[in-house]
Amino acid sequence: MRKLIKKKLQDLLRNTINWIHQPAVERHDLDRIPIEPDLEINIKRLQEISGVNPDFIIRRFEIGGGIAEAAIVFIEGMVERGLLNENLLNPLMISYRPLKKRGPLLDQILRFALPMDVVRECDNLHAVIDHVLEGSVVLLVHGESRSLVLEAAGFITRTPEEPETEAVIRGSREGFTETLHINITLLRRRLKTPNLILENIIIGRISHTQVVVGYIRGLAAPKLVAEVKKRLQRIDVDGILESHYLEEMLRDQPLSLFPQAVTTERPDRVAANLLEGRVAILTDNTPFALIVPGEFVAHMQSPEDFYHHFILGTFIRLLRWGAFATSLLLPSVYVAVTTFHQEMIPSRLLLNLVAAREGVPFAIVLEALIMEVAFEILREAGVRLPRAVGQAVSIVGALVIGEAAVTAGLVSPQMVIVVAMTGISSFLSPSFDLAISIRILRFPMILLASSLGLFGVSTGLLAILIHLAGLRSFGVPYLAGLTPFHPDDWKDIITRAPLWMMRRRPTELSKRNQKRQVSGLKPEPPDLRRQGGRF
Amino acid sequence: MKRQVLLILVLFICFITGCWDLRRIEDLGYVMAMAIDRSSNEQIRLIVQLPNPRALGGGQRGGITPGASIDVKPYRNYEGIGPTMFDALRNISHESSRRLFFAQNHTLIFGEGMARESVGKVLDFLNRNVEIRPGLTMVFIAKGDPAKILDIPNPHSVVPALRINDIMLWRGQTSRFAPVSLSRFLETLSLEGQEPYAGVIEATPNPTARVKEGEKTAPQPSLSLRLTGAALFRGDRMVGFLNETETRGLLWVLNEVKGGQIVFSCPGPKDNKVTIEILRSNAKIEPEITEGGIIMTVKIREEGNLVEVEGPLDISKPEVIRELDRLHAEAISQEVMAAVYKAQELGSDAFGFGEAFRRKYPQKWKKIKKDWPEIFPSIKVHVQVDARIRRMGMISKPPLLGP
Repeated sequence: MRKLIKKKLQDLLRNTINWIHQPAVERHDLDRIPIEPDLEINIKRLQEISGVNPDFIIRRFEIGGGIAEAAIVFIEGMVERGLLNENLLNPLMISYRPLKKRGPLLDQILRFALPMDVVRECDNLHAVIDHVLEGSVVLLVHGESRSLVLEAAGFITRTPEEPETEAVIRGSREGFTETLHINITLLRRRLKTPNLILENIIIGRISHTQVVVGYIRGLAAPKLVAEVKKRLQRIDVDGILESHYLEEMLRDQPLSLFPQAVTTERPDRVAANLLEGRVAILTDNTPFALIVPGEFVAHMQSPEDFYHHFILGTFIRLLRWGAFATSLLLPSVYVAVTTFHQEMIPSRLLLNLVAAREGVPFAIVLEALIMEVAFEILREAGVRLPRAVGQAVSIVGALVIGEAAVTAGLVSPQMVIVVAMTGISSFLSPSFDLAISIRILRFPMILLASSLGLFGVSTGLLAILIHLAGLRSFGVPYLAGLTPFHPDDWKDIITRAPLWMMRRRPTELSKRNQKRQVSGLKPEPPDLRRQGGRF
Repeated sequence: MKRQVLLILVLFICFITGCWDLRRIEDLGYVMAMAIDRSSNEQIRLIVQLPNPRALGGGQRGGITPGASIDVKPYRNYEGIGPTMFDALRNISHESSRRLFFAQNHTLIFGEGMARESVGKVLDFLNRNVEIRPGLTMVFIAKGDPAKILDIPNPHSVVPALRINDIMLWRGQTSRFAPVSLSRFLETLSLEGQEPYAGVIEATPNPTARVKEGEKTAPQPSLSLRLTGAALFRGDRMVGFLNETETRGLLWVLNEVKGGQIVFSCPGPKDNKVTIEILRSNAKIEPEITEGGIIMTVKIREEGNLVEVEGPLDISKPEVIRELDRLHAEAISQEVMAAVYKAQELGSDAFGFGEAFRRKYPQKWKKIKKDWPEIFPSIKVHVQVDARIRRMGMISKPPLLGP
């Protein structure tokens, strides 16, 4: 008995090893293989290609009770089974009646027997395999050197839900999903124009990921679109699993910490950006779309700015710039002032700080670094931990780095406030990518502050500014609007001007088609006197 | 590649400085007030006041509000004696565990004895030192021992140095003491047509500090710290004090009156008083040369609110107000004249009359500036006051007059 099991296991192992040792199927090899009129040969080849995969199904049958042999090829789980049985197998196997009209069988089937909407023809095995892998059903008929590709994809998809990373109080609750065609639908519904062009590019030798370049014809600069496509076509990798794979290969300055494309889950944000003349890149299997060029200002704008009163929008914008500065500078300025520039602190505040610092064993720099790292650990843990555990950990963490550390005299309460303020400020950024770069830059800034004081802080700031001023995103200066200076763009940078005032698109993006709306849109009460006093 | 290596090396420059010039915030002794006096053996005696932040309650929850029962004094005074300022302050380091840090110092007190002799010798250090901030430091002359003044307890504003700051915040309540910043002090010292002045600080007995027998309340401090009047200098030597009324007379001319009260007798037979609160004022000195000598005309424009009327005065009538304006102006000019007489007597031109003269007659000033100390006591000063009452509170007629 034991011997038998051993033998079976060995067999299984050998078989598996045989398959593993076979050379991989290369797409360009398949290109050369046409579809033979002989069904048997085709099926044999397909079986060779598919290997032992149990979900690769080749179903053989006869059309109309013996008119011709045929087979359908599909992947189980990728097609909608009801559609397949009702609209393909049923009409062909049971109700098919041969017509007297002359013509190839395949054409007759296509014209009279297949109640399915999207049907394509293809004539080589490469295309057959590609379509099957995408969820189509391929019909092979004996005696025909062509095949029919029937679109019947029906795999499990997620319905659009509220995007978790970009929640809003007011505004659309729809977010992108992992399914590209749903995302395209979401976009099309917002921009109902034939000028919304969505171009398809397949990237990834193995993953064969569908990537869509979207733009509005006449708004996006043709050079920009060409550049995006050129950069995308250059990418030759095995797989694209997330849009960041693309972002990292599309960048102008690959080593920069700053994001050079806007990442978003929100179709309305993509639509708004397309209207400004930008280009969107949608990737299959991820809800995150890329928007290029993603210059600095684009990262400071949230779609919700435009969904509330413009004064609130402006207030939030100002708050956001303030929080941006806080999250970058607060710890370093605190360190600099308390270690080098004690004369800058008002007397009473100083005494307060000193009293809290007395007995704290670490230098302020060290204290700041410890607390910042502790905060980062907690934050990272909060993301990775399972929901149920996460809450407990964050409570304990907050107690440990807050209350307990202060009571134990390891850190001063002021430092806890500084770190907490910094951490919370970084969440005001509407762009997670920008927040990441700030998060990382904080540490060198603290080190600079601890060694050179405010001089170090300003040196660091200057270095960042020089870097930003030299940076470009798809040829657009990263600080566009600020430098090169376009006063007209400022309406939408520091402030959020009323919608009726924003008549022009960002200058650097839309040099050809700047006008966005007619002038004189400012609403006003009706001239009642002219109308005779009342409505 | 070369560029990247260079960049990294450049970055390292920032860090190889290490802890150079690092001052840990808790390792510094923040001098909140310093007093300079002559010691008995003719050396410089320096007293510095360092706060005790712990006792101020900052470490435990809630700000530096003083706790009800403080066992430890919230400050500590150190005394250092040495032939020069720097020597004296370095001598303190034998006793103080904290390095003295002067950039937070707001108060500089000279002992009266030393001020009458000369403050010139220490001014150089005060001006030369990086940490001492002349714009922030206020100069005072102590009546009595400065060590005693800097050790007067109080339930609020526990640290005497901070109390001096707090009292100064409300100087506009009377404008009868004259603090001056060290930078202004030094500036007037260097001007030929103006002499410096300084505030005066003293310890006075606290008349409310009485506890009845058998009562168990905490005793009130027996002394108060009081800012009062001004001290006038001739060069770097103090020559005398102005009382509180004369001090405001000086401040009127210097444009430093920020508010305060003016009391004068109201028209009528009885000795009833009217009180005006000063809103704002503006003064201008106009020198003139006549056969009789130099005449200085001080033009003051003042606006005030009527706050108190003792007599049955119908102030709803415009002519009464006009009369009050006149008396009110007279009261101001009396204050100024009192200050002028006193200053002429002491021979100290703290008003800057000489400076005003120089601005108007620069050529003539060159001839007379050597003799200015002799000319100043004899110049004539006219005061023209344009005083106006702007508002008179919640009622127009006093209640005595009936409706």
